[in-house]
Amino acid sequence: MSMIELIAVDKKFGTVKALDGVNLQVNKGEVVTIIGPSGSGKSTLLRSINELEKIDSGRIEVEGRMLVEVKNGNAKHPHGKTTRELSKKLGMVFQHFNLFPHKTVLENIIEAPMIVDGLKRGAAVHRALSLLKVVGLEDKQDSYPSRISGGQKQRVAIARALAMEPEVLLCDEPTSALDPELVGEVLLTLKQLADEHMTMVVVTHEMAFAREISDRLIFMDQGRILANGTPQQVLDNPEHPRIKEFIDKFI
Amino acid sequence: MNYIDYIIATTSYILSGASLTLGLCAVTVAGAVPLSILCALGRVSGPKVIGRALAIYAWIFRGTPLLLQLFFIYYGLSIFGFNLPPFTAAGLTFILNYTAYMMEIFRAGIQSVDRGQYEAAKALNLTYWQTMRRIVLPQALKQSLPPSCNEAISLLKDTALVIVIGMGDLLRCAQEVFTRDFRITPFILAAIIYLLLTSAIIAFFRQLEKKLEVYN
Ligand SMILES: Nc1ncnc2c1ncn2[C@@H]1O[C@H](COP(=O)(O)OP(=O)(O)OP(=O)(O)O)[C@@H](O)[C@H]1O
Ligand SMILES: [Mg+2]
Repeated sequence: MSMIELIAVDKKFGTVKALDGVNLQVNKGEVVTIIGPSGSGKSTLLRSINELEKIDSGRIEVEGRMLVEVKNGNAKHPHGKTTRELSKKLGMVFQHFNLFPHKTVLENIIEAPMIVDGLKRGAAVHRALSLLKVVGLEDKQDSYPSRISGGQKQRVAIARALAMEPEVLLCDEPTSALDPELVGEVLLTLKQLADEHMTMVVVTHEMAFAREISDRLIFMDQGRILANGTPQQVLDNPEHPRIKEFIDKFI
Repeated sequence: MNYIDYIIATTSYILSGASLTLGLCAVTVAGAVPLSILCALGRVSGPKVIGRALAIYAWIFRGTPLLLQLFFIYYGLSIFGFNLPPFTAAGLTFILNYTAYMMEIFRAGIQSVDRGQYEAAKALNLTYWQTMRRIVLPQALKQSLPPSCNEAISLLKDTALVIVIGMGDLLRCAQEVFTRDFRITPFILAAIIYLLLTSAIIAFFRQLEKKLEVYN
């Protein structure tokens, strides 16, 4: 079943085509990673799905239902209730974590379930603690973000996103801001989620990780998807010279 | 009457004026703080017209003397038949004047909050008001504490201007005693009371900043 679908999505920044006729389908339970050179539109693609960027044209569907459609510059959205229902299915993890600095780890995680979903504090805390266990940070619940490491921050951010019980987790370079020795713990957490068949779209520069967890690998260049297949298909026999060039830099 | 008794009597008289000073401060804070937060939000995320209107308002009230504004609202409005009682006129003037300043302080505070905070809030499906109230404003207000402390001190001292519309504030009481006795003591006592009050303001803000420092 299709979880997310992008149909002919365009996005320009000034004259730069960040997304150029992108078509992409992500199925339920699938782990899709996106690789590509800097500026190729990977973040823009992920952010468009979450409506952190407004697309210029095309259509985005979540579970087969229209989230946004832009035709000739006119944007169409479903009713507010449907929009909220659909965007609630999307969780996001950012490169720079974006934890709320004035809230403790626990408060970061219970914030949205309580405020957005109206969960009682007790239930929200219960959920948060079990998520902290999943990411291995039960002992940090009362720390402020400034007092924990980058790897721990990212794991809290993952727990915070999961607390809204999304159907899909969108991760934009979740380990790029981390010191090398902290990358492993975050990748491990993400792998754990992949093993539990969480639907994920992950932008990453970690090739070994991409190869290991991806059901599908996507290569982007200049706003276009140049390759879309299993990691083996894309990485082992790159058909496109741009992909070959890109991969050679990693070996 | 010995000198100690004189000081006690004078102090208590001046303190009776201090209640007006403090009352005016309280009214101004109660009006200007919420109003300036709303105005700051209007400037940051409201429609362009509102932003322009607020910019013009700030330009006028920050660019003319507070004393002139007081004259306008107390004497000027009476020409048009609005005879405001002195305290109302003073309160209105101070709220309008201080909102103009505090709006700019809170605006800078809001703009200092990282874009990533809005994006995280949006990704978690918080609404605009939830994002502002729960995520952005707490961080913005913390940033605004040091300049707000300066404004609070200015406010306390600026209230002395109400003498010109005949109100009996702290300084006015001291002046009356001086005129009556021709002694410097009432002015010294007034100065001491002002200093104690400004010290209390500074201590209050220091406590608040310390409390919010935990997350730095
Ligand atoms: N807010 C913006 N304003 C202007 N141009 C932008 C903006 N965001 C992205 N771009 C441009 O759009 C193009 C795609 O950017 P995007 O951030 O999606 O690339 P990316 O593949 O994520 O790159 P990186 O690997 O460096 O993160 C780039 O040319 C970039 O300069
Ligand atoms: Mg990027």
